[in-house]
Amino acid sequence: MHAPDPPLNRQTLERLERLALRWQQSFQGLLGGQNVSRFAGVGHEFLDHRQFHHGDDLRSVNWRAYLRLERLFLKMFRTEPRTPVRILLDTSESMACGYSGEAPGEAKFTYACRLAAALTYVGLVRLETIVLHPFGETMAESFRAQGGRHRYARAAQFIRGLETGGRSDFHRAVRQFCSGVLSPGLVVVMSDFLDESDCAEALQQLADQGHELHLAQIAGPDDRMPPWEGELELLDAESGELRRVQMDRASALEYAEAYDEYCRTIERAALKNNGRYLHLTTDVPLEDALYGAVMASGAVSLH
Amino acid sequence: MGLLNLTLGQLLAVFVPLTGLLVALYFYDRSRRRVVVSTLRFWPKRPAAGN
Repeated sequence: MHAPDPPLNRQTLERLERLALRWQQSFQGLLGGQNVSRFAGVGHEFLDHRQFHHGDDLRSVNWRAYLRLERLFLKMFRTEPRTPVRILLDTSESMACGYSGEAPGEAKFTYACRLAAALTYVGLVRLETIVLHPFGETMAESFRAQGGRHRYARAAQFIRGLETGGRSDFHRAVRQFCSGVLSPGLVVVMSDFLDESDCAEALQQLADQGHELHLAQIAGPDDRMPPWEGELELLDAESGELRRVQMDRASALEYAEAYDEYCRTIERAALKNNGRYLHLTTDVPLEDALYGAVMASGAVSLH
Repeated sequence: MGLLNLTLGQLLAVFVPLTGLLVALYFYDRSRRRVVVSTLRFWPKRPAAGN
């Protein structure tokens, strides 16, 4: 399955200009961006005073305080970090499933690509740095977008070039990500989290490295409540394994219960590390999700 | 014999294909459908009846 072309139309992009990405932790980072940091550095907003030490910049000395107290105090300013926002986008084959076309909605991959494009645009408008990391069994080549909204076209072109394929191994991909990305920051993961490895453990590894986790679990309408009944031959999209089942109402409820329990595991992994979790189904239009569930979670807000 | 004022031959000519169609539809409904799913993780492991 190929990514949507274009991921977002002009009207949607115009509406996204009112939004800004938000996160909770403070990260040591470059200058720029919109999120307030608790770290002192170069900036305009006053943070605190401290004792002057040899080698400090004389331009930051509070000379008024010196005239009154005859002691040197240094003014510290709040730095505004342009922490790279890293978006991990699942491109495994399971992202092409979960939508049979009978109900309203779209494939998970299409939805995830459009969501990634939306967050990239929101970030670029606010001068954030966005790094897109597609992953399947391993991390694929990433793309860094920075420098304002006019850089969005290149990011959209990168997203358009993505396609689903292969199995997902989130644990392996995260290990590879952690070995390559040493500076902690905001990590947005867009996936169905439906691979055989333990996703919760991999998420913990990300959190242990200091990243703030924002998880968007994308689900198709058929992923939570299968609409089929009778004798089914199920084919796993990633492994190719076949299983024959007799499906009835009770089996469907049993399935939904197991699915919900798994989602709660992923949610706990995010919340216990002060992250955010969103379960997005593709039958909710993307703009409604952005201005509804995503905004309610605090991951984006009106600027 | 005069149901619907038809002869036996006419009656068979109407109902035999109709019955055949209904039987075919029944077997079609009972046949296994192959469905591609994201994962087998949440599906019951017990096999379907008759396997």
